[in-house]
Amino acid sequence: MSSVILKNIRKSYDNESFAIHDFSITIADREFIVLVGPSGCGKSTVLNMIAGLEDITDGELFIDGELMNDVEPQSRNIAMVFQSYALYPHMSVFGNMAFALKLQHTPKAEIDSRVREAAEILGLTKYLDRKPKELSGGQRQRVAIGRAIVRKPKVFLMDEPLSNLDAKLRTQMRSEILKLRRRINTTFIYVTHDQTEAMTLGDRIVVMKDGRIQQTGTPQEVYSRPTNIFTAGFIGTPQMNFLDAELEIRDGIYCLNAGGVITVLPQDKQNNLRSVNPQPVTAGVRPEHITLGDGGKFSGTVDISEHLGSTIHLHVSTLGTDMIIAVQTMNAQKGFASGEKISYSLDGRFIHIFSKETGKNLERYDYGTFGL
Amino acid sequence: MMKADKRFAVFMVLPALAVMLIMTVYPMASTIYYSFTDFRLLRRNISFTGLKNYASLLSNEYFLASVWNTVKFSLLAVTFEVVLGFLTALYVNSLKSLRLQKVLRTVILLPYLLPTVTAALSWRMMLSPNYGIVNQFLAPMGLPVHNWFRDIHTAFAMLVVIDVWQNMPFVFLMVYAALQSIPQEQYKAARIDGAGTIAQVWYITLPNLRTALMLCTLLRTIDTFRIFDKVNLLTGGGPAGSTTTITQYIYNSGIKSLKFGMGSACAIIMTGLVLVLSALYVRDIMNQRSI
Ligand SMILES: Nc1ncnc2c1ncn2[C@@H]1O[C@H](COP(=O)(O)OP(=O)(O)OP(=O)(O)O)[C@@H](O)[C@H]1O
Ligand SMILES: [Mg+2]
Repeated sequence: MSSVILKNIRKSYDNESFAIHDFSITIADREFIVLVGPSGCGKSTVLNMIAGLEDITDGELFIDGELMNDVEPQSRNIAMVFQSYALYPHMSVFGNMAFALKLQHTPKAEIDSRVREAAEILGLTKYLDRKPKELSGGQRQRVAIGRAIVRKPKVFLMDEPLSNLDAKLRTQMRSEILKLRRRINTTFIYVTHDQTEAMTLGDRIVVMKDGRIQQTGTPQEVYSRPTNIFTAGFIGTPQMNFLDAELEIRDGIYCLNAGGVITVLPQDKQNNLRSVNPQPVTAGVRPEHITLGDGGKFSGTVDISEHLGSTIHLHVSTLGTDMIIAVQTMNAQKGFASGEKISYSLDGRFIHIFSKETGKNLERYDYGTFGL
Repeated sequence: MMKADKRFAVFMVLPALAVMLIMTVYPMASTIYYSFTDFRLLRRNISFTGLKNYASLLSNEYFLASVWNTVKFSLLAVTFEVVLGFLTALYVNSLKSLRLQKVLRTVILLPYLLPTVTAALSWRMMLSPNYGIVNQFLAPMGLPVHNWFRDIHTAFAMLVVIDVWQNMPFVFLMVYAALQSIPQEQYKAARIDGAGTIAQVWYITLPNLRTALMLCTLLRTIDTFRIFDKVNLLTGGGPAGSTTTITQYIYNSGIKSLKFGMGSACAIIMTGLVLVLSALYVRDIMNQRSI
């Protein structure tokens, strides 16, 4: 059992403003939680407070049921992997991994076997005598992970561990982290600003902005039911398209009026929107949820067409803004030229309706009634 | 085309080369040459005497004493400068308030900014047995009034103290700069791994400062070996030769008595010693780099 509970945690660095406001979350034992958000939103601050590297200004932190606010980092039974690896440059790979155990005066034989076991898991056995300088970026990252796992921590903290790696290596390390997780099976708290990492790694993800939690949920929940415009825009690539529209009620049925085209909303949205007044709204549609076709009620002009292999991203001028439409290459009979006129349609099931005023999603979800 | 380019390059480098030849190579070569002669300024004929100068120097107890004084001075001064500079840098760097750090940094650096002559003269005034401020403090407390630079027990120590006072800031500055460039995450990782303050200094700070400390030691060793201005101004090598360094010896018995041949031999021996010492450090620093 190593749950992590944050209760109304706040952090101020300067006693004037707060970097973290009222942060609460309950992380279950062996859960993989990803904190995601733009640069400066306070992800590292939260992680550092859990690790004990920063004081908690206000609120309570429990690890494994114990209040940890004033416990020293080394006594919290956590391990942390840093973005810059933070390896000790003058120690060998073995020395780096053995350091914590050495400080605890663990018997030599046990240090040796634990380091070798971790090195085996991470494929580092060959490099145990090398200095960090003599390793590639991916290998260094593995050493940093190895240094963490030899301690057999209850909670594994990772602060953007992959962002110093190139794209290909990042994808590879991502799947290795998943494998590692299955193998050591402990609680993970993982920080990233990369929403792809968040979506692929997390059991649940916590979307943050300006020191506040915007939304907590499984990747699917956050993707299909974003609670506000920020989350909607942050999760998913390419970004969700937003357009000005009117929410109208016609014959007792909620409809969306976008540029004069009326789209009737499906039954579940009728329920979720009940008692919402007709009003100007921001409608959100993901590029992958737009269907091209001659029968489409909307029309636009192609500005740029980006061929990415499996998909084509069309940048289209329509309804007074720019929209991106993702077309499966498989479904595209031909290429698209700049200036080409196209027509498309929106599927009411995949339209998100946000208040123009507050940016909040106007739908109230009754969890469990809507198949994802 | 190529040829013209090359000629142009040579032409452009020529002035610098000429200056260098005149300023360094020529004096060096002539010093080496004179060291094998009995050259005296007021005598017409110079004759080649081979290793005679060297032989007589190496059997001259005053010269050997001056070598020993220089080595002793260098060891003491460099040790204190490096240790104090390091500890001060560690302390200032650990302060929470950046403003205080800035102020301290400037204050600590002041002695280093003074010209040596100015610094030496102020010390001479402060330590003067007649009107010096130090003795005026000591006297009312019933402590003996000292002639610091004329007392055989204190003269040498005073030179060391003044050199440390003036040059510790250099070490401070180098170490402070190096401290600032140690990635903070190494400390964070060490704290999680269970390293306390002392363990952090030992396992993170010191290894990361190794190159900076070696470099300071090297530069300070070379510099203290050549100490002249302070000695000459404050003690003139006395009392009883207890503060005569190699440079002061060269000055007394080579320059003042116009025995340039002998003086040159002295200078060559000193250069040799400095070279040997620096070679050791330089090799170590180079090794560090390649790790
Ligand atoms: N040591 C510090 N002193 C003062 N302010 C700080 C300190 N560390 C962080 N902050 C501030 O707290 C806020 C959150 O910073 P934090 O490093 O947690 O963001 P982050 O989400 O990790 O960003 P990034 O993705 O760039 O790493 C920022 O506004 C930052 O300026
Ligand atoms: Mg961060």
